[in-house]
Amino acid sequence: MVKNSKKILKLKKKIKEIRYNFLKLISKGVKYHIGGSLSVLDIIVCLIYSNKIDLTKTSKIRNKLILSKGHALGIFYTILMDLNLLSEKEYFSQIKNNKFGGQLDTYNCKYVDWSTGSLGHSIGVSIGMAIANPKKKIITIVGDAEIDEGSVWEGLFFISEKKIKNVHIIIDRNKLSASSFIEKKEVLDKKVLNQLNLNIFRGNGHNLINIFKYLKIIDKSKSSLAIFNTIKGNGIPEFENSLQYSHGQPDKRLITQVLKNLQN
Amino acid sequence: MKKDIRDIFFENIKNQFLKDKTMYILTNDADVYSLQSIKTNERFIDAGVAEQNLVNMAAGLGANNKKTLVYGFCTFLTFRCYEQLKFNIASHNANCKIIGVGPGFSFSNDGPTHHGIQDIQLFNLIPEFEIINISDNNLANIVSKNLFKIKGPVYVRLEKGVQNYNSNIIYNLNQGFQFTKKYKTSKKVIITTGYFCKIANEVSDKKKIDVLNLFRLKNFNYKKFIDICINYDEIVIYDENTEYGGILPIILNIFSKKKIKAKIKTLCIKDKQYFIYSDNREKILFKLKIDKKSLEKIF
Repeated sequence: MVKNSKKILKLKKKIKEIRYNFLKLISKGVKYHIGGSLSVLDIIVCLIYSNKIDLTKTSKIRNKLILSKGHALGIFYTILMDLNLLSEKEYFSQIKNNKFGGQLDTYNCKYVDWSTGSLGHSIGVSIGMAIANPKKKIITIVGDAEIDEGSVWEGLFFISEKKIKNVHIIIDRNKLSASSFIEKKEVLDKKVLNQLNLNIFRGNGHNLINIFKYLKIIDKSKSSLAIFNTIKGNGIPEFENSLQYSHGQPDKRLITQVLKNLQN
Repeated sequence: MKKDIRDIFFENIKNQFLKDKTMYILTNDADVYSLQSIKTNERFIDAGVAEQNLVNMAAGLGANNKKTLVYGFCTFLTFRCYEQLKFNIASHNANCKIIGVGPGFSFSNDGPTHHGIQDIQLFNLIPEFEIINISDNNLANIVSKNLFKIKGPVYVRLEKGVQNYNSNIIYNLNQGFQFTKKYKTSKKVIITTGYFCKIANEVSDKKKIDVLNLFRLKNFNYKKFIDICINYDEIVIYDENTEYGGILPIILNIFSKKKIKAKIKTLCIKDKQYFIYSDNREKILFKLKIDKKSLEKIF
């Protein structure tokens, strides 16, 4: 059973480490969107540490990842440091020199496959990449607020209609936008998506067995759409489902306490 | 060359497409006669009426070193996907050429949705984009043969119909402008672009006034342009676009950097949208007082 496998246990440990190290960056004064970063953390860790996205290889020969919800970039950098692809010294130097900011960009980090900042663009860009690289998987992670953008649906319909085989879209459904609680039941829970010519997967984005089930779907030669229910600020009770910490920064006392709790 | 200007342009593009396997052609369901034979090619992508996705896909292809040519109506390929053009194409410096058909009032009776009278300025605002406004068959031939020699994103406006009036002009793409009429003693010049070059030429024949066709609207030879303009007593900027949407701000910006003593007159559209659906192009130009007679009256 995958459930008890060493791999899962190892990844659970890794998730804890990445969460801790990410929050450590916050405690050092780097500003990130905590809520949306922690909601997608487990998924990103599984994608990268299962080598679905093998960042040790150059972008030209590996599968590609577009983190469309680019405000979760702190997790990405934390992972790069964990993999020794980016040193802490270099990271802070990039921050100091205003090279690393609040969004990912291809000019300042060679591990980034596409720049972010404007929501709703990544699915179309992924399609272009998929057509240019038919043997590679193009994986994009979008937020659930982002799917309001019409271009998301233009892209989905195109994938379905033209039977594009290698685009894989993950929706981080944490049910919180930057400013309000959102449900989108009509769109995500009903049969609309099932009509599309894509493998549709619904699961818990904090359950590694669920995530690994989806990673197997990615291996198939058909594009897919995964809707992962997640918790904004997952793993830290003070930040969970909090509008305040969607993009607000905790004060020194709170972040110190959070880190202390994690250590314990 | 008594062909439609679009056929000249797209025939050349098709020939390049068939030779170059890294080239992709994308459209938003726009029909072009010359490209019909390649519609089933897997590198020909009809995105349907979905311009944002269309441009995003071109960007994704560009990120993997593919050349892309995107064509469609100029109004829809600009306003409907402006952020995608700015961010995904321009910021990533994609080797993407956007071909906007239907500039000016060439599709007059479809109303303001189809009037391409502001699109030039949209691209002027995006630093990475070059802009080329094709006036005639001869220029269409040269631009389409050399388009991919220009690095990075380029926006090309393409007229319709047989525009065979400048066949003897030797165009220089790097210079970006060319006299289409030149008299030894003339101290007056019409600076124009696109379809209006034809009208300016006709007025020139009657009034013996020089005509300068400005077709490359960015990165043209600014110094030479100024050096030429400085010799005139009177300069008329004649444009089918709005006063803020066309070549007027581009030229005035250049003039502002040098002392131009000439009297400058402008003849272009007021900053207004025109909800006119029944008139042909000539009638619209007449109503807007930018037609041939209005230009003649200036001199």
